[in-house]
Amino acid sequence: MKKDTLSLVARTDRMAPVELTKAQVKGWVRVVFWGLRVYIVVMIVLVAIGFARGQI
Amino acid sequence: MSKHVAYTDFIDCEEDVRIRAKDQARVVALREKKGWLFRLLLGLVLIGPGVLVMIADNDAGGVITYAQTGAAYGIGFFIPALLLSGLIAYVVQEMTVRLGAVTHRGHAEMIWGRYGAFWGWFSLVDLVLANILTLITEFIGVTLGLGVFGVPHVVSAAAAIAVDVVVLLVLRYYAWERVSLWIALGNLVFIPLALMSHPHWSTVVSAFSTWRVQGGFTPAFLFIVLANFGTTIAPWMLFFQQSAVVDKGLTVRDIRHGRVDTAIGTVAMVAVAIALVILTGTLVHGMRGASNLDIQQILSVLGQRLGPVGEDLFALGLVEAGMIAAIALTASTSWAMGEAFRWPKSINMPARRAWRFYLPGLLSAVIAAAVVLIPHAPLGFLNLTVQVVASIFMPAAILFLLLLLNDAAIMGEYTNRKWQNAAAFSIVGLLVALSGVYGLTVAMPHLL
Repeated sequence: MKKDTLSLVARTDRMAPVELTKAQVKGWVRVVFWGLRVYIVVMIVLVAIGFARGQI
Repeated sequence: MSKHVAYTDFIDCEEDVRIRAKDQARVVALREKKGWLFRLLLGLVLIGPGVLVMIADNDAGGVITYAQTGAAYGIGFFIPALLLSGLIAYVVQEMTVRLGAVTHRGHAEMIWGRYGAFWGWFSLVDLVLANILTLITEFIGVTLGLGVFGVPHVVSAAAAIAVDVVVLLVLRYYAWERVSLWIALGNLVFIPLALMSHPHWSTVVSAFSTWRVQGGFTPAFLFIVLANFGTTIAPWMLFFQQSAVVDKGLTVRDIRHGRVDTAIGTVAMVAVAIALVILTGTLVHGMRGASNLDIQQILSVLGQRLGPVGEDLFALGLVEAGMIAAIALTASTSWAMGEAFRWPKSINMPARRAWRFYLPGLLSAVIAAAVVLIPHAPLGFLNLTVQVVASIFMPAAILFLLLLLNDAAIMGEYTNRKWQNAAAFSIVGLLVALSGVYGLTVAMPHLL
């Protein structure tokens, strides 16, 4: 029964996850990552100020 | 590709992949049959992740936010704004369906594998922290709602944990999803409540033509706008739906149904959010001090205006909203941890064999429930911190989603189209701008 179930699925669709390799970060993607780092740092600083002043 | 894949191929696959074969076989068997009845059944079987994520997004915090929004600002500005935020939520969540169906991997797994440990840890820590904080708001909703019926907070928190544990540990994915969908149905209780308030429909219709803000763009108004957007689109939603799509075993052939599922969920989510704004916009707005009422005061006003039935129904809705979101957040944490650390990660797995997978989610729920029960815990502070963490994390989470959806090496023909990228980048821009303004108002409250 288990074998039948598996073979029914196997006839139509592949279930295996895609292979994952680390992406080459270059070009506009590199710019996006730097923008993200700057955004995170700025937001953390702003929130830290908010905490320190008791605004949060 | 050969039409017949050897059985041994599956033996070599990861355990959590093989274990989904039964759910997939149900879909394949229905797809092979002809006739409208089987097509309808197929649609019903494939409904799940999209409806669940959208309804769970109308969580206890969301219900409170929408109710306070209607009380403070009426129905003038926010009904069209909620339609817009629903559209944004659909655009974002549809991408998670495609990503999950094509890659058969969860969001945390994709970030970790494709962009490395730094961004993997960043996403995981943010998600788990935000989930615990959000769970606290869910338990606040459950205890407040059951408090209306005289249930002590300890009992209601323990009952909520018990339901969460039983649903996650005892049920396998398909049953877990069906039970969760039945619980989610309770979210619709706010629609008859809105009708019970006898709203002026002409005012509702005119909201679309005038779209004006009473009192103008004040800092308080900006906070409400941010809270509404923050409520409608949250980081956990991306992780949850993608992991659910994977755990359900959906493939590229199911993407169309995944879109329909997400669209149905979006319509339900927006309808409930609008119903809440109409309800309190009609019954509470305009009262003295309406803009500063907390949820208990709003409940009390609803009891006076609608009678005990109205108050009880609202309280039950609050309990349901907290409960369905707690179930979703718990699963989201477990999936993300399983994906990050490569544990077997499926709700199809029995608890004894996959205890590492179930433990983080359930532990986060227990921590949240315990915090709610601490006397004089700074719950308001924690609620605000949820929004702060989410506002920092959300643009990053969508950016990763966008990068992955434009990654032809993994997405092939399912990469984003131009309009999808334009829409998604506009959403990221809007979120960054809103988060930036929010950050500025937190740090420099007198700036506006």
